Amino acid sequence: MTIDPVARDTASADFFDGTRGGLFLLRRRRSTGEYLDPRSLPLPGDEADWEYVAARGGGRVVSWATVHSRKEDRPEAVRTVVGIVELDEGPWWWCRLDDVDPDADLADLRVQVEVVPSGPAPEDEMVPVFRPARLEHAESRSAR
Amino acid sequence: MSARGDRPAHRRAAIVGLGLTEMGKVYGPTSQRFAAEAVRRAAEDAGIRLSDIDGLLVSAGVTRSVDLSLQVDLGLHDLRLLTQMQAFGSTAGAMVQYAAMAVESGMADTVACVFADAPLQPGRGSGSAYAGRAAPRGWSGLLDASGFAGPNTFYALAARRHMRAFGTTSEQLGAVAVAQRAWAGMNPLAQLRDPITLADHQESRFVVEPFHLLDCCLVSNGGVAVIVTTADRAASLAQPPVSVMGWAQAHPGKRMRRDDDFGLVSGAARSGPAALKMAGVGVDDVDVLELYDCYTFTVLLTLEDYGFCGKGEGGAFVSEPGVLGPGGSLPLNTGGGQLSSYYMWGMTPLAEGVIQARGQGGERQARRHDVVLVSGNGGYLDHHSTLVLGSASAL
Repeated sequence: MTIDPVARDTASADFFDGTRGGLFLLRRRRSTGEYLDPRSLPLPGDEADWEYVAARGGGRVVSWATVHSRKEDRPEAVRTVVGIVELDEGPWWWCRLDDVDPDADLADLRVQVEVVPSGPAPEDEMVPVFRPARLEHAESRSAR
Repeated sequence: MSARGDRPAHRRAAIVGLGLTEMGKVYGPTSQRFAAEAVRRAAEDAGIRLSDIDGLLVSAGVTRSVDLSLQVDLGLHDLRLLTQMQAFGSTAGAMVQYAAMAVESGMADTVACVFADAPLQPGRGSGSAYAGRAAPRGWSGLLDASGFAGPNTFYALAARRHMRAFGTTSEQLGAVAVAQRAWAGMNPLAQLRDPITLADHQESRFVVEPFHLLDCCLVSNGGVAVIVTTADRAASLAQPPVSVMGWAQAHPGKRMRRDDDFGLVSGAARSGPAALKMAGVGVDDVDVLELYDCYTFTVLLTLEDYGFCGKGEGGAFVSEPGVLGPGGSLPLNTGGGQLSSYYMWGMTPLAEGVIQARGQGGERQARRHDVVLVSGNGGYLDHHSTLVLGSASAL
């Protein structure tokens, strides 16, 4: 698995602070308990009601697609699987799906986040990718 | 928005001019030059002088390189309406809507709406035309690094979800591509006119599974403009006026939330019925459909959302023999659409809608063309606009 280097900006700085510590941070409204995508922003005046919380890390695949990209040094297209994951807390997250069969039906597959380096340099951010939650997935398949 | 019958008849909006530049791999002119040329041609088509224009709406396209200085380039003075609009692929329909409201209210009398773009460069393939524009940092950088290859990936995710939920197949998507290419064969402006088969579609390389290359729209340089004015003024101009009978927009704003229906239902489900209601017509009254087709899937989804078939039945509907394509029961994307003719965002279906409503489609002209339904779709199924156009008899 290769992933290209990612740099932070002001809007994503808190999130990448979290991934440096191995956490996948979500936003949560204290008053309602609602979990929100980490990119969500509070309305002016609502800041005190919002907090960062670490996601439990599990979710299920809503949809997936396989990107074909061509490299000059390789005759065959490189296939990269990406997907939409519905996190157990509710928000959807658009992400890389690793260690999955690109030809399989991945709908409803249970997945688990893993935070990985996006590049070799110290300043390259840590980023979340999702992989099959193998034990849970096996249980869910065997229950069908 | 009030029903059509409640609007003063003499000020009802009509499209009276259409200007199309050369399209496709046309190198040299900047986007702004394409835009100026499109407006000039639209005014000439309508039989008006540029100085008759008192409103200008500008859509800058993907490269964002057309701006309000177009007024100066065109030598337009003392405009009563001027703005740049951005609702991505739904912008063209939205521009006509605001132009219609402007002329019906008396804010302006003659409004030009223009789109132009020039992403293609000599020696660079279409696939790289939009490359290098996304920021390699922050949230968008995270998506890039994770492998998301622009809009192709997002729409592929939407299509896959529809396929999984309803059993829609790649071959059914291919039926849209094959039918539109057959129409393109009769459009002199179309970039791709050679017929294709379903086997050609299936054998074309994957871009982002489930999309083959032939599921995806073209990339084009060029410009398109339309002129909107009032019914009373339209009556004395050069072309058969096209009535703007109804319109609506929908912007769901739900992406990334639990239970989002991304890929299953789009804003078309609200925008389409609202526009038809405003026009005082129903789905059965529609003679010609010009649907935004950034991908084959977008056509299929919009057909469902507009009510031409049931939800989840789009695949079976488009692949039923005798429905799509020349000679079929449903004239749909009769110029070849963005899949085969040219990619001018929402101006592609709008321009063909105007041509069909006028009865000027030549060998591809639909026999009945009193009611023409035009859609625009923008973002990742985030924005939708609908226009109901009518032939001159509807004014």
